[in-house]
Amino acid sequence: MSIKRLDPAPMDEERDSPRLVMPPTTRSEFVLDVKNFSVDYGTGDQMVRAVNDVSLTLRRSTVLGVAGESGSGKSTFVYAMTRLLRAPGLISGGTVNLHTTTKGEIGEEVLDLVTASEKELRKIRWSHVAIVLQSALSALDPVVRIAREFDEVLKTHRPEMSKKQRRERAEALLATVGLNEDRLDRFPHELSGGQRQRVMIALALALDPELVIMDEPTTALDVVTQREIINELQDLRSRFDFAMIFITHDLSLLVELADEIVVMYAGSIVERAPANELYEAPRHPYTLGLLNSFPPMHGARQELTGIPGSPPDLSNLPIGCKFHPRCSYAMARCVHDEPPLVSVGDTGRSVACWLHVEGAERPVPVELSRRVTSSNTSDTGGGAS
Amino acid sequence: MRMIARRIGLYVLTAWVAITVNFMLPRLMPGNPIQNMIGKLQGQVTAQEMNAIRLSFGGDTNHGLITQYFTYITQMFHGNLGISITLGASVSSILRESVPWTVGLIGISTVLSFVIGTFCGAMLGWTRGSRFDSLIPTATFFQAVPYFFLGTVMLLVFGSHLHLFPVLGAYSANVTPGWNWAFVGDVIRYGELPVISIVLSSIAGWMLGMRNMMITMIGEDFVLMAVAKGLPRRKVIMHAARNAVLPSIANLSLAIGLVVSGALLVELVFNYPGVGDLLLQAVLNEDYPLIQGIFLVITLTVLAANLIADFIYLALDPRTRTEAAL
Amino acid sequence: MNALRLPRSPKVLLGAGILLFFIIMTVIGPLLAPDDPSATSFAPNLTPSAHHWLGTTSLGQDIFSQLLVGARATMVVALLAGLVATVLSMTIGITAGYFGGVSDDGLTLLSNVFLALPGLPLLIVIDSYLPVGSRSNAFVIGLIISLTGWAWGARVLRAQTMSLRNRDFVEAARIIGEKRYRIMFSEIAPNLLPILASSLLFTVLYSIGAYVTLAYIGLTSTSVWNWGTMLYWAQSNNAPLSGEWYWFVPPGICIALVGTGLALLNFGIDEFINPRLRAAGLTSRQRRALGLPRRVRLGLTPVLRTGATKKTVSAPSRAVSP
Repeated sequence: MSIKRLDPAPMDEERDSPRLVMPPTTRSEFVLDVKNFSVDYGTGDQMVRAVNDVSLTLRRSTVLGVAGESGSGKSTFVYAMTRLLRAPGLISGGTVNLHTTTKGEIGEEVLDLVTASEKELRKIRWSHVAIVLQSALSALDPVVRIAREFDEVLKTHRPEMSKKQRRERAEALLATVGLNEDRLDRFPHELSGGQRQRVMIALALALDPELVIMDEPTTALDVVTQREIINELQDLRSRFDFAMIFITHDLSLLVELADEIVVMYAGSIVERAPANELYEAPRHPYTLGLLNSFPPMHGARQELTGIPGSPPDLSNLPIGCKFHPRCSYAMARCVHDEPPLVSVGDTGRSVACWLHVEGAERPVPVELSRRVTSSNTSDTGGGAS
Repeated sequence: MRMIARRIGLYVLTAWVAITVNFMLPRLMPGNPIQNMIGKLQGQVTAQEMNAIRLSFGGDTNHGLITQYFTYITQMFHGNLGISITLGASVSSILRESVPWTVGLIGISTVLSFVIGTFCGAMLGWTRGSRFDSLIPTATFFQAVPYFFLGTVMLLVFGSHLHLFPVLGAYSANVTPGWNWAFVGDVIRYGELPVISIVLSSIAGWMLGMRNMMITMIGEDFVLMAVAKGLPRRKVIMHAARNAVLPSIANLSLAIGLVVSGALLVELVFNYPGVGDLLLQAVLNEDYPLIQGIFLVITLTVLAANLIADFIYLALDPRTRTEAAL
Repeated sequence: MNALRLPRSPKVLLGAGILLFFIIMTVIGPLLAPDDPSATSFAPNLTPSAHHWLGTTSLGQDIFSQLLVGARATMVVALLAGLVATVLSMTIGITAGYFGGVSDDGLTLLSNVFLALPGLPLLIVIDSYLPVGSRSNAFVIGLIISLTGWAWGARVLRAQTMSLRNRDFVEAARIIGEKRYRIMFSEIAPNLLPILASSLLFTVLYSIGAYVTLAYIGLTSTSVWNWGTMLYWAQSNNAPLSGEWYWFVPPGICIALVGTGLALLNFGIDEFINPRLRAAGLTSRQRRALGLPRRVRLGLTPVLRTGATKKTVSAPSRAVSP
């Protein structure tokens, strides 16, 4: 049940356009619904397409992992989606429908973030969509005490709360991430890296958002702290009810955390699959490469092979499949035609690779039909048709 | 507090350098200007005055340099800065009269200019790309105009031609100096145009510096986060501005010296009874005791202003407080 | 300029244009001057006319000739002082930043002291003791100005050197066994170029202000023509109050324009050093054509209208065989 704008208002105006309000009765299972979303950097001759025609959906209370090397467009995608992408980035098409609900009400409201006004965006920001950045040190205002960060957010979005209530809420939030309340009176530089990231996570949960976006939240941390934060997140997910988009280049981490994983390369989705299946049987050669670049967090050791070549240069992409220069399975067709993202199998998986299209010049290689070291390959050729 | 202790140490050292420069300069110059001056004064002043002047330059020149230096410093700490040759009064009493005017005029102008300039700079930085950007070349032009030239033009246009402001001097002849309304009002009226001139000349520096820092800060993650939190625009700007203003305050030490230097000449243009006008008279008449006294007092004032700026910085940046506590 | 690859913004072009104009004036100005600037051969107090573009002084000197001739002394002293000060700040800044330790402490203290000392009053004091002969010597004046103007540059350069000191290429040169001064001047200095250029522009700006001020209060020889002495003579003959704007306004404007040129050029260098200051991507005409807002607001990524020209992603071929 979606409530749509009648016509898109001019982008840079500060008013709420009249909205068609219908009595909400049901809510969809999705919190986010992205269609044909594209992002460019610059225009004209210098234009570079950073995100190319991405469509995806995110179910309530689930975790979507977005993986890819630097330059894959994964961060650009989420920043643009929330309209936080800086110049010279601009959205060149698509819709991003955010389904928001209010406590105590049955239905939902749908807001297309791409056409939303500044005022509408301000309203949904943090109360419905919160973000955790890679470096908490740079994400926290260096001259402001931690308490102010919480206070400000609560004061803006929950004006009915008293000063005392806000303080208590902040203390409770810190407790949920295992931090003592005395941290509230510290400045960011007085905390350790792990503590700062915990503060950011607590801050993200301050308003019970439906969607939390995590942009490589553990990359800047050491392995032990990284582990602790991931466990913390797992725990918080069971206690709070939020959906999460988790961006990282570390696929093995996602396998553990995510329900579903999307792999991006050069701005496009190349593979999408439930986390377990992606881990067990990657379909795209690039996914396989990513899996082989990191040691799994649990389980048997494997040889790390990585991906040959360097990440794509967005201003100079090859014709055909953008991955073909680095792909060890490339065929003649890959050089000329770009493979579409098509569904394979029956679990909602999809992949953009000519190997998995009927009538491919060569059979699907063993490792792209079943990765985990079983010698038996004949039973899972499913991806090939 | 270690930072403040270090800064105070630096300022004491700088004051010492200024004193030593005062002492050494005439001795390093070819042609011994002090001896010449004293020679010319012979017979024009009383023996007692002559003695005071001699002492203020270090006493008997037959003594060693070190002895002279100690005499010089001792005399200075006793408030003997010598006697002005042209005005006949003791340098310290002359300075006592003119310094408050200068401190008042330049102090008010600097505070106004800093506050307005920083505010405008923050706005310029935030609205970067808007039509306000066309202010930048104009601001740059004002930044490049010599203070005294702008003062002259202001005096001419708004004082002499349009008669919008009273000019020349700090108050009119028909009021009695003191704490009475007529006098205070007069001082304010007469101070307006000099203050405006100094503010106009110095504001662009703060404005452009703040604009650049603001743009740099807007590129920081925490400002983006302030937006992501759905904070009202005013609060987002405050997050960026509070951080952007820190370098401005840190650079105050360089800027205060420049502003004071420029403002002294504005006093000259407006015949303001501060040390600027005095300095020019002293220079033209080669009144060395007065020149030395003025240099010393300007230096001490600038150092005091620096110290105030340091305290403000300390209050605004928690990071320095922690560092200082270590 | 080429080595710096300055962003070609209108501001930078305007600044460079202004400076070029005055540099040409410095070189050929005295040759173009129609009259001897000191010759009192005309009627006094003439208003601007075809014969005397800027009128004459109360002594009957041609003001336009004074302006043209005065450009040289003004610019040469400012450039000289700026160059000497920059060399000083480079030597002191790089040495302090590279060596660290005691020499750093000492040099930093020295530059902090010079920063805290009010420059112009110090200049006036030094200058007032100078014998009259030296005051007319442009080089002596230039050197003294540079003495009070090096400290800021030294501070900035020191900070930058410290950050460069531990970079790989400097480390490599050290391991190869290059001599210290060679590393400092052939490895580190080139990387300081933008900051050096900025520091040079600032010291020239400071020097021109200081020189003109000294001349204005009569502390340089009044017989050397520069824009400051013109203002001095205009002031002492009460030109401002008697409405002879053509006497004192032109030199003031010239000084301000040179300063503006320097500052605008410095914008370009700032943008080069700090990429965030660069205007992002599009010209305003392109923005209009695409229906984009003139200014991109933080947290409001613009959306390209669907009606606007939507080019398909061009994919330049890059023949690569797997």
